[in-house]
Amino acid sequence: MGQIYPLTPSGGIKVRWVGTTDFTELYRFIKNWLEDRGFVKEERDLERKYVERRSGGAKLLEIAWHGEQKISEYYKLNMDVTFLIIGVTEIEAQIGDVKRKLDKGDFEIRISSNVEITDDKWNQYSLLKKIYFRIVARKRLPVYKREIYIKTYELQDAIKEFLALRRA
Amino acid sequence: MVFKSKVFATPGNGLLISVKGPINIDSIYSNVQQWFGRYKYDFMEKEHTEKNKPQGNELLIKWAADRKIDDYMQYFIEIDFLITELRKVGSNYHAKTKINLRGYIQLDYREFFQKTPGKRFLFYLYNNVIIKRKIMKHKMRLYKEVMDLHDLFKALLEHYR
Repeated sequence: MGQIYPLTPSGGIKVRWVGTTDFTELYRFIKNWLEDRGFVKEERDLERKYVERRSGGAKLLEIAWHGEQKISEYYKLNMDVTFLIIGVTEIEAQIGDVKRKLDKGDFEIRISSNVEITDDKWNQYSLLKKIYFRIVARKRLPVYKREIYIKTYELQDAIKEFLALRRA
Repeated sequence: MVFKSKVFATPGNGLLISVKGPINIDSIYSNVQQWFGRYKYDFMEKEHTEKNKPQGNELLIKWAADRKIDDYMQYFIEIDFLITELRKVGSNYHAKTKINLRGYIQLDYREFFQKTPGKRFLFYLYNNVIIKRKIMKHKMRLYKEVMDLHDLFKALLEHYR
């Protein structure tokens, strides 16, 4: 692993909703969002952790995703999404004329992102690596930082829109 | 006054605005973000929590913004919003709102001087002798900016009082 330039606080940025939502739909929505923006190369690489615990009628879910987008041989954008869903119970709600099954609980989603330098191939040329970074690659770093920053907040905004939370 | 790595321009616990009554969250959102854009801060929403409660929704929003002054100093402004008992009354929202504003200067944010005791001594000397006046000047500048933001919040909330 090369050098990492984090864009979010170490714990990530957090969106939390205590109430009712369609979690299956939210899960699909975020997955599609990451796929559409090229953060998922292969589906099996996305999900790093999926823990589901049931106690009584309630569920607890811990899900960790890791999305990455290779920009060049040198740079990579990483986005990690973590779900912590507590006390989920299924309820039936009337939406318009339709009865739907929704999930009621405490939904916490954390997003963290960073720019990574994947310089494994350069490790044998340490002097050349330094020169290349100082002269060529460093100029592109702020551009990629900006790109991943915008994408991170786009995702946060999309989640907030999905959950009908207040947005800027 | 001895300067450490964080120099607070506001009291350590921050400035508190507390209001009970009508609130327009959308207007606060857009105006505050514009304010940070105008002052060239990098804005970040660290947390957005909303809880659906019978007495009205509860919102906790944490914003943080930073601006690099040079390679050594960085301004930080942190805002915590706690909105409770948020209910729709007519076309407006009513709630209990608490806003906490904190502003500070982060010295040596690249942590160049924090690695060895010798460097930490140099850090102490540099802050408290060589650039003391500069820090005081920046502290005043940040204080004015935070007060400007404080006024903006009051104006946004005053409108509905």
